[in-house]
Parts: sequence; C-alpha cells; structure tokens
Amino acid sequence: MKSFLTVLLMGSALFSSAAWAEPDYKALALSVAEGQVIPGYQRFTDAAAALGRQAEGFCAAPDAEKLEPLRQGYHGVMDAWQGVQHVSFGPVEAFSRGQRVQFWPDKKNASDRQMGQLLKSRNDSILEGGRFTFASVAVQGLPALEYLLFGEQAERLLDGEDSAFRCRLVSAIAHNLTGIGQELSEDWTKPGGFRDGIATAGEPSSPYASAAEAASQMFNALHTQVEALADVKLAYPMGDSPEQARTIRLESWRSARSARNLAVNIEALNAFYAGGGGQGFSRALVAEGRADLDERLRAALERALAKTRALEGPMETVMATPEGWTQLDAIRADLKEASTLLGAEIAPALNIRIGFNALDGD
Amino acid sequence: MHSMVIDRRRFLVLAAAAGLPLKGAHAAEGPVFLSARSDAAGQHVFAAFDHQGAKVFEIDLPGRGHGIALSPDKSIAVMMARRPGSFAVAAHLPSGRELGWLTAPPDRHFHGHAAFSGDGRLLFTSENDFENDGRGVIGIWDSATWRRVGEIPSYGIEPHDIRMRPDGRTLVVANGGIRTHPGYGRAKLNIEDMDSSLVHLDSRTGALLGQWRLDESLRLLSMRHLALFGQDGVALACQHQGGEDEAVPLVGFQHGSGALALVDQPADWAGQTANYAGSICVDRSGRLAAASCPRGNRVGFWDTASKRFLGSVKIPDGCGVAAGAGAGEIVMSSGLGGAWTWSESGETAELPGRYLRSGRWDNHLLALL
Repeated sequence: MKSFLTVLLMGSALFSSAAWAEPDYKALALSVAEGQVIPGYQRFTDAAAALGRQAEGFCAAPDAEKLEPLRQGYHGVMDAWQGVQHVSFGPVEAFSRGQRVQFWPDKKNASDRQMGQLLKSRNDSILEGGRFTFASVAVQGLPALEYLLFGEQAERLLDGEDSAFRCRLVSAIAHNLTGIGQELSEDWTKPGGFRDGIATAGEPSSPYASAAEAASQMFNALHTQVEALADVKLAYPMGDSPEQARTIRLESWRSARSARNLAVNIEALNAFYAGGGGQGFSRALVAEGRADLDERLRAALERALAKTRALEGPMETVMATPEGWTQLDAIRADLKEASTLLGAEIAPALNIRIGFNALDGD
Repeated sequence: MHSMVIDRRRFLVLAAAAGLPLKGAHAAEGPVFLSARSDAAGQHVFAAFDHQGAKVFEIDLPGRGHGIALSPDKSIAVMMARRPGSFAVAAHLPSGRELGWLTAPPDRHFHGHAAFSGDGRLLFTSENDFENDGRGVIGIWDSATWRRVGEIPSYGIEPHDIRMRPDGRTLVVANGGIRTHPGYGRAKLNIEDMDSSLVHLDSRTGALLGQWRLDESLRLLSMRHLALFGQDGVALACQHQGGEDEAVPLVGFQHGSGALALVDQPADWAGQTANYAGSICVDRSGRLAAASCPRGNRVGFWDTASKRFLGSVKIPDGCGVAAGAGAGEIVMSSGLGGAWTWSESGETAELPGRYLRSGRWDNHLLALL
C-alpha cells in the first residue's frame, strides 16, 4: 500500500510538471480577447467612422477625384472587418450584427436583387431615423457598399438622377457600420461586458460555466474560420477545375480583393492563435510539451499566407487560369492541413472540446 | 441490417464507378427526416432527407435553425430559429415549398421550439419577453396567414421546448429558467435565482393546469427538452448549470397529473456527458426513450416503463434523435456529419449517402412516420 501511495505521489508530482498541467484557460482566453478581438473591433469602428466622414464630404459635392479615396475608405473598413470575421461568438451574435455587417455567402444573390429594387424605388423612408438598422441585412452592410462603390453603375454616384439617393445610402451604410462597431466594442469592454464575462467564467453572471468553455469557444471559432477559408472562400468558387471556377462566388469579386481578404484573415488568425503578449493558444501548446504541433500549425498558415501574397494578380483574374487555379488549390491544401491539425491533434492536446452541438448550450 | 447497409453502399460505389445512373436508387419509401443543417459554405438550411440519406429538400435560413413543429395532418413543418432568434419558416410537406415566414415582434425573441394546436390552425411558439425580466410567453400564430394573433404566459422564465398533448389542447412547456437578453448574446443572467419548471397549460384559455419544480438540491438543473409518448407520458431532458463533476440525473418522466421523477443513470454518466443532454425522443412503441449528450459524444437509452437505463452508444457530437420506422428503433444525427440508426437488438448502422456526411446536423431531428 505504501509503495502504491509513493508511486501515486510521484505520479502526481510528474503530472503537475509543465507537461501535464491544464492550460491556464482564463489567461489564455483573456489574452486572445484583449490582444486580438477587442483591438480588432476598435479598428473596425474607427475605419467605419472615417468612411462616414469621407462619405459626407463626398456627398456634399460629388467629384470624380474623390471617388477613388472613397473606395480606399471602403477597403479600410473591409480590411478591419476581415480581421475580426472569425469572431463568431459573443456580442456579434446578438441582433444579427454579424450578418448586418456582411451578409455572405449570399448564394441566392439577395444583395444584388434587393439593391436593384431599392435603387429603383429610391425608398428614402428606410434611411430615416433608426429605421435603416431594421432594413434587410442584404442592403445595410459591406456587400451593399461594395455594390454602390464598385458595381457597374458606380459612376452614377457622381451624376445621374439617382446620385443623391446613392450617396445617402453610402452614408447610411457607413454610419450603420460605425454604430454596429461601437456596440460591439462597448459590449465587449463595458463593465460586466463580454470581456468581464470571460474574466469571471464560472460565476453566475458569466455566460461561461468555466474558462475552459470560453477557450473552447475561441478555439472553435479559429478552427471554423480555417475550415471556411478552405471550403467557402476557395473550394466553393474554384469548383473542380479552372473551367468550373465561378468568379461571382468569390467573397469580394466586385472590388477584386478576395485574395486580400484571405491574407488579412490568415494574419488575423495568427494573431488570434498567438494571443496578446504571446499568452494564447500557441504558448499553451508549447507548455503542454507539444511545440511540434505548434510549429506545424504555424508553418501551414505561413505557407498559405506566403502563397496568397505571391499570387500574380487578384484572385478574380487568376482563378480561371490553369496556373492560378493550381496555386489557389495549394493554398487550400495548406489550410486544410491546418484545419485537420487543429481538429485532430491540437484540440485534444489542449483538452479542448470541439463540436457543433457540444458547444451549443441549448 | 448492418451488412445490408454496407452492401447497398458498395453497390452505390460500384454503380458510380461503372457510370450507371443512380436515379431511382433513392426511391423514398420509409420515413423522411427533418433537421436544421449547416453546410460547408456556411449556409444554414432547413433540410429534409430520406432514410437512404438522400436530400429531399432544403430551405435557406438566415441563421441557425433549431426545433421543428409538425402539423397534426403532417402537411406542414415549421423550422424555428435557434435562440435568441427572430425568424421561423413554414414549409409544405413533403415538397418543401415555403408557405410563409414568421418574424418575432421587436420586443420578443424565439426560443427555438413550437407546437401546433390539435386542429392545426394555430402555432404556439416559446418566446422571451426580454424587456420584462425575461418573462416567458407563448406566442400564438395563425397558420393560414402566419401572423401573430396573441400570446399567453408560460408561467416561468425561458420557455424552451413546447409540445401539444394528444388532446390537441394541453400544452406541455419546459421553462428552462435561465434569463437571457439579446443585448448580452446567450449570456445567462440569473443562475443565482434560476427557476426551471415543467408546466401544463390550457392553450385555449392560457390557464395553468399544473406546474412541477425539481428539489431545491437540483435547482441548477434546467429542464429544456421534451418528448411526449402514449396517452399522457412526458419524457424530459435536462442540462446542469452547476459543476460538471457533480453527478445529477439528466432524464425524467411525468405522467398525467402525476409527480415528476428523475431517473437512474450509471454512476459515471454525469462525468461522461458533462451533465448536458441536448435532445430527447421516444421510439414508435413508446417503450424506449433516447437522450443525446453531445458533450460526451453519447446517446443514452431508457425504458419508459421501468425507468431503467438500458445502455448507450457513442456518436461523435451526436445531438439529433428521432424515432425510427420500427418499434425500438432510434435515428441519431451528428454535428460533425453523419446519421445512424440504432435498434433495440443492439445494432448501430450508419445511414448511407454523401449528403449526410457532408453537413453539420443541428440539435434536433424529427421523423415523419
């Protein structure tokens, strides 16, 4: 018996050494929130507010020279949103905020159809007061803005009988995005907000029963986004061959920035994975003695990013060429590898729960 | 059974390899199943598939779906949004034609479940009156116009699952007891004063007919999902809001106006399942209840008469459970893709077809028998 106990105690001493300690999920989740999510939402809010000011200036006196800077303003907002697109949990889930910012994928082309109808009707009343917030998600976010700024009829912002209405719509969308950004930032950072909910995981006021649950939700957001980049942003528009490639299935085909979206996404996932001050998933994995997995994941993401940056032209043009298609397929394969690593090896190593229904809470 | 399925799959593979037309291979005799699904493109749909795994129809949804209500004549199914949601869609069966959309009033949101009145003319939806401390209400909708025509109280907080008894008039409601507000996403705002209850109410008058609460020691157990069986049986599945290491029962039964009793489970069940059951169903004979526990990747089975635990099967992220075509048969779906049939004789066989494997099957499954 005594020797058994000794063995047990020795065992527990071993278990408490670095290789077997449970990750500090609270520190991990907070570092991800504070290092990536909260600053990301702030950048989005700032970019949308800047676009709003620009739109007002533009609309006061529409001018061809100001159209390009306005388009750059859109790129700024889109860059910022792509940096937090993977955050599928928390305040973004409430009031359809995520969909209102970017209704996508839009398989049935609701955005185009509804934008066409709206422009035809010039229904001013939906822009009044707070009503725009309740308009169709297909007309109040980034795809609608892209339609106005980069669509076939973008020049009609300058002159044309409906230029004033188009301008008001650009402004309304920019203000709407700013408002949503402010709500997101505030709901994360206010006292008792979502950040505090993570900090107090396990207490009754927290949405999380444990810090491990918060970390799991973040991990699942990471895993889901890696999968979505491979399946939705690449495989879906690519089809099975260059002949099957469909440009309009790309996320931002009108503004020809789908590759830029992908690069921003991968950079954001890297930052999310690393967490603020390097206290995120990467460090936890190394602390679990699995630096090998950490290296393999970072290498796969790094390869995907380098290949995305090396594309010779926008995805919208290269995808239908045999060479370009093959390059995109290689990026897809790297992302698939990262996704498999996350699901099959890294999640168990961090003792993190993955699954669709397991995390549901219903 | 098992080998037959494999043979069929092998046939399909061979047929595909030989370039044979597969049309007709999916002649849908046997039950059709309804569930919310999310596909690889991030699209959420209301999906129907047959017992051979072939897609019957899909309706695009603006967000994740949850529970499904079936009209008494089985000609209409309504897919509710996952909470806190504001949409629901009614579909004609078996065509999948959209009959209408329901939109929650601005000061209410749906809690994911609904039930039809006995004559099929009204639909009752579980809802949250979130500006009034999360008072639970049951919305009443006209199934001819899909307009909201009234509401009655649920006599609790957070009504979740809701079922119509065979009398066509008495509603059984599981008040989960957890207050949420859309401004805080899905955050639970009142664990300290959680109040879960099972309620029977008269859907015509709104009168409370009976209410059951669990012992004080089980105050943190949230009763959330229901299945009705026989003339007056209610099976319920719970989720524990306390520690995952406390062993609490997750399944209970209640008959007529009798007492509510939670039932036995193996000693390690709580630990294996993280004290979380996601869905419950009763087989066609009414003798067998199945409760899914996706956090433990298990579905457990109970005898509804003896209340004994019969055993479990491992289904990764398995949550949807529905009665199969035969007595003692249960069909289960997974959030990681795939669906399986389990029969009392102890066999588990995967339903064939790429469609089932290629999507994430959400919380609930309903069989059209």
